[in-house]
Amino acid sequence: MKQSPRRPVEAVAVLLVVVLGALCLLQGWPRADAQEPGPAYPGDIAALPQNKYGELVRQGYAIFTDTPRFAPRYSGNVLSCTNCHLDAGRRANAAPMSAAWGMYPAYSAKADRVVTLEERIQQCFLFSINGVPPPLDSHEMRALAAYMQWLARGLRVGEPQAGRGFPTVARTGSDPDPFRGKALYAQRCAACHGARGEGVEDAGGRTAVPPLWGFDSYNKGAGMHRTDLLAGFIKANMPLDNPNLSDQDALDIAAWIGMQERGPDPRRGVLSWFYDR
Amino acid sequence: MLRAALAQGTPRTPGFWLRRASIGQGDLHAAVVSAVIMLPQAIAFAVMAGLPPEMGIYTSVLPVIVAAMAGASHRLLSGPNTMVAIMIGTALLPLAAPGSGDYIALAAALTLFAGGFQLALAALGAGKLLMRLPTFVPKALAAGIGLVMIATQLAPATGQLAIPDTTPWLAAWHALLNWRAMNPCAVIVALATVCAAYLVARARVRMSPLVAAFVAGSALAWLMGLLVGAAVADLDRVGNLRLQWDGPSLPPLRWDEWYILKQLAQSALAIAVVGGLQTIVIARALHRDLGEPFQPRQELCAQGVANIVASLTGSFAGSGSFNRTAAHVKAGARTRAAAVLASLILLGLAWAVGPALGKLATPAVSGVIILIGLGMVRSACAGILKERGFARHAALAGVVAALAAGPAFALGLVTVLGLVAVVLGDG
Repeated sequence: MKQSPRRPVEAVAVLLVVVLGALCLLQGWPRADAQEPGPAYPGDIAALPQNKYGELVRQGYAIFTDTPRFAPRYSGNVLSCTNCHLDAGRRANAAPMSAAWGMYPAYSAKADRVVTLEERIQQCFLFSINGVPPPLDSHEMRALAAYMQWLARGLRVGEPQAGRGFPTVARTGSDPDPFRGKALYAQRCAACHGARGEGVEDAGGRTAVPPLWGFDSYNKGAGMHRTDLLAGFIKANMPLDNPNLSDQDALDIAAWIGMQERGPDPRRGVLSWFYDR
Repeated sequence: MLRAALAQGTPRTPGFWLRRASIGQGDLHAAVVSAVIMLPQAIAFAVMAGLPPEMGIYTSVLPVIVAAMAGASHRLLSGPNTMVAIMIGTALLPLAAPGSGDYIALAAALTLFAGGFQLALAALGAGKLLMRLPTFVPKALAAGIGLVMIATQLAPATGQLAIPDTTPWLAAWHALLNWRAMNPCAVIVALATVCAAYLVARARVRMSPLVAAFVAGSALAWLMGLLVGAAVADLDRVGNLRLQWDGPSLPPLRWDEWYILKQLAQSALAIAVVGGLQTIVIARALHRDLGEPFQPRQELCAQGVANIVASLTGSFAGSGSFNRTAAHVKAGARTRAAAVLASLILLGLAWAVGPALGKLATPAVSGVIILIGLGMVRSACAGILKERGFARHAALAGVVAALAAGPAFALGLVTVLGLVAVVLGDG
């Protein structure tokens, strides 16, 4: 009795499945990966075996070099790990990951306890990437840990490596002068990082040069917000591939960048005004 | 039914248009209410299945529309479902890391198999068989899954890391035993979420308790971040939603990994049976209470087609949902258009509030899941206590089995007991 009103809806449903299936086939069989297609891998990473370990290391490299694209769930700004840990975490004096791997678990003054490498990566996501810390058992965390372990192969665990972390700028006898830093920034940094520290995007919408302040950059809880760490980084690495600034220059530019506005420190809330004297 | 109603009077009589307007108004209201209720559940169930939260949104759109159009009942609402989500998580956890591309690909394959099995079962006449299973079977499953939901969400609700791949009671035991590792902010948010639902239900405000709980928990989590800083509150967040559909695509089936496909097929059969059973039970209730057409074979077929569509469009398996159908009907749904509209409104809503959804605290989502579990346990237990004799004992055995050994084992046990009851003539 009720057959005729039902037939058209059933036919629509079957037709929908057929159309979708045809569309899938037209797009090619099968879908290669649920993830985005990967970046261009350097030789040694592309040469990793095509097994689950190799896949994980490759995904770690992808997340490390283009975090907003490959870890969009946890990213909060346009920075990638490689913007500070230069050369995809390989460059000495730019906190290379190979040197970090063997030194964790280690005491972290920020957390006031011993943290594992994964917890330290979580801190990076919370502060430097201004995002959401990935859960310790998430896929992104595993991929990053696998990539860092692969970078550290052959090195001895627990032995501080040369080029580890950021170097310290020696005392110059003068305080960092942010206003001299402002002039220096306009002369030496603005050409790449922009006059307003906004960085540069490439044609694909990805970050070619990272922003140094504003809400697209790291927040006030990040290590780079500390003048001494930033000065060490600048002195050892900037301008990129041609670091030639003096100690005082580095301190002044670091002071100027540190004065700029950026996201709030996640360790502080409104109530911190009252209890954090 | 609708045609007969509309057949009365011609387009010239005002009664014709008034009737159509009242139906449309009921549908629109139900669509809005259902969309708002579906949003937190979609995210919660995707998180529970170990899948990215946006897949929950996708699952609530196209597969729901297809199931509503192809099913016999006008008012049955499908979509992400508790039992199916838990079974997806249980099936895939041993095979891949949650959230990875492998996991998502396996979920798509699992959904495709489940849809195929449902079509096959429909063709074989399993709809009638499922209908004959005694009433204690779905009640035992509902109560058991409710307890499993509460047990497995204790760890995320208290800010602890869940130990993967344990039995539900052990997961709860570890979470409680490890009370020193609990995050006080997470506990407060989870408790507030649960309490908010009860307060809203008690105060008889015209708002779904689940939605109120979700909003309250999320607001409290945000407030904590504001007051003491996100790093101090240390609440796990769901993470940014990436609502970006890449078009239909086939699940990548690697036929050389036969051992994985075999495991998937076994789980897919269980999901097909559970999903079909739930849908048929809801359709039967709608037929009994509201006179909706009841065609178990067509319902099973519709669910199969919906699951196949889900696997092709980046979604995961769903089934008819008790609580959403009840809310849908109560809000005034009359035709299939309500379900279709609800899905589209949900899509718009998710797109509109998408950036804010990323900051959702996991304890709030866990609190919502615990609430749904509590509701399921309460109503199912009330039903079980009405049973007598073998049915009651079998139901209780199923509930204990779910908690002690997991939902898959409980499904097997309860199905066997149900068949025994049918054979013995008790059902």
